[in-house]
Amino acid sequence: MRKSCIAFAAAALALVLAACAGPDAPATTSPAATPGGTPLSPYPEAYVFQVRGTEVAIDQDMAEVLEALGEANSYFEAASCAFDGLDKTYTYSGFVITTRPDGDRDLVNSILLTDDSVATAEGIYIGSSQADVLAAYGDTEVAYNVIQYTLDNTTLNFILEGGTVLSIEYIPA
Amino acid sequence: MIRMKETKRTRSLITFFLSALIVLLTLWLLQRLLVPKYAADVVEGALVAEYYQEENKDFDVIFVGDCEVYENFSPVTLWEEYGIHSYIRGSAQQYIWQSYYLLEDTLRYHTPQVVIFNVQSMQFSQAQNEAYNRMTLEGMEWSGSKVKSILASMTEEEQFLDYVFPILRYHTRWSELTGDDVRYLFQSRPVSHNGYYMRVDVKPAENVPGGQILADYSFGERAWDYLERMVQLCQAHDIQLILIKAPSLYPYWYPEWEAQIEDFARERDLPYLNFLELTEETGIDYSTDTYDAGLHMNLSGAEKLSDYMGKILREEYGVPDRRGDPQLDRIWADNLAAYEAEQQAQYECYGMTPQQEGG
Repeated sequence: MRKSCIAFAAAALALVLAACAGPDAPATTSPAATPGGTPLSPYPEAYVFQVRGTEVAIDQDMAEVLEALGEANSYFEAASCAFDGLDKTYTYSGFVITTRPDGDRDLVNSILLTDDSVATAEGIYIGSSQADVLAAYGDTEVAYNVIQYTLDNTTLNFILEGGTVLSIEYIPA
Repeated sequence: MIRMKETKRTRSLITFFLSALIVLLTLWLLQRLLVPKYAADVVEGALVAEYYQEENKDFDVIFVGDCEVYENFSPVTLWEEYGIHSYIRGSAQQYIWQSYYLLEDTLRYHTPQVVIFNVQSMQFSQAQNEAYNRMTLEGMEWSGSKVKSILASMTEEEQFLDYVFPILRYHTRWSELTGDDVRYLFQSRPVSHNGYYMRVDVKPAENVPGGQILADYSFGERAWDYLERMVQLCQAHDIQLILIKAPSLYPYWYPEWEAQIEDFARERDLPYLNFLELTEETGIDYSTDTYDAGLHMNLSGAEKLSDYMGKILREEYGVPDRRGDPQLDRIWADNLAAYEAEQQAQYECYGMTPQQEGG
């Protein structure tokens, strides 16, 4: 019987220890934290937005972007419901960059092109045709007026209306 | 000889069950220690559980929804101005299926006369984040509604067993434990006022981004399904359902979304109030009535909205004035004292006077 007791205790302990090999607890301080707490870093092969001689990439430190592009035309910050840290929106002429908090840094979370004064590195701008997009990025399925291309950590989203690009956005893959 | 054997067997059985009890008790204590207490940081995680501590759950009005209800309406104002006994069952980024099951859960305790649902969460058909899921689901008492809500909410990475035994999920919190984890091991700290999360500070709404172009503005089938279920649940219990859109400026509320809700409300003969279009009537001033640039109301904004809502509840839906009920008078006197104490503490914390707020 003593053996049974020990076996029961050992089984219970094993349950907890086995759980220790599982994933980390969900974030209680920041939803943007990566599961292992490892900082995100830009991926060299990913799609990047080129503007004013600089590259802006998903997961890039926004401090670097601000240093290169200067202050935005307008700035808005919003706290996530319940969590620490701020989601920030930087509006420049022709594009909008949003960030998410990651520890002490703010990482680029999306780049939205808002008019035809700017274009993707591959030459697509708002007003380009569906054929232009497919020629620049390759044939792919057009589902619900959306064309998506993903490279590494970045998805490039084109929204079309009547065969014309209406919106272009870089988002995390 | 046989008797000796029986005695030995009995002792062994007792030893076994005592050992099992000690192990289970130890695991339970460990679990209590490791689960987040939501006492100082991310207090919104404690909102759902607080409801069960209420002495008198015979509420006439129940709000359900996300931060656009628990930060924008003050049940204390509804009581003070109209004698309306109300509670907010909301949590951070509460999805519509979670609101539905929280309402179902609420009906286990009482049947309100009016349920007010904020429609912002119609934009989601899938859970976005485990941390948000846990803030809503873990606070629920175990019931069929909780099980269904967990199953409806889990992201691909989540396991049902982790909700049954949270220690499996929070074992890595060892390194994050603070004094609060010990202080609130067995008893939680009240963080809301009948579900209302108070903020008195002011941050005017400026440079609020507009909406970006979406490929599809239609709400998802799942969101519609749960809204329809909510309508049917209210009908089955003879509850007046009121749909609202709180006056939060961000995230952006698209005209296309508004049109869908207006059509739905018209088809189902439901009242729908979009407070974004009622700023003149409510008196909301985005330069003084919000603490985070237009996302949520501060105390002043929440009291203005509650005053406006209370009038509608009284005049159009006949929600009774419960003042004069000795038990409720006592409960609400305590609630009011806690409300005013927190209000004062926050004014001191932010170095403000009530005049600096919109009130």
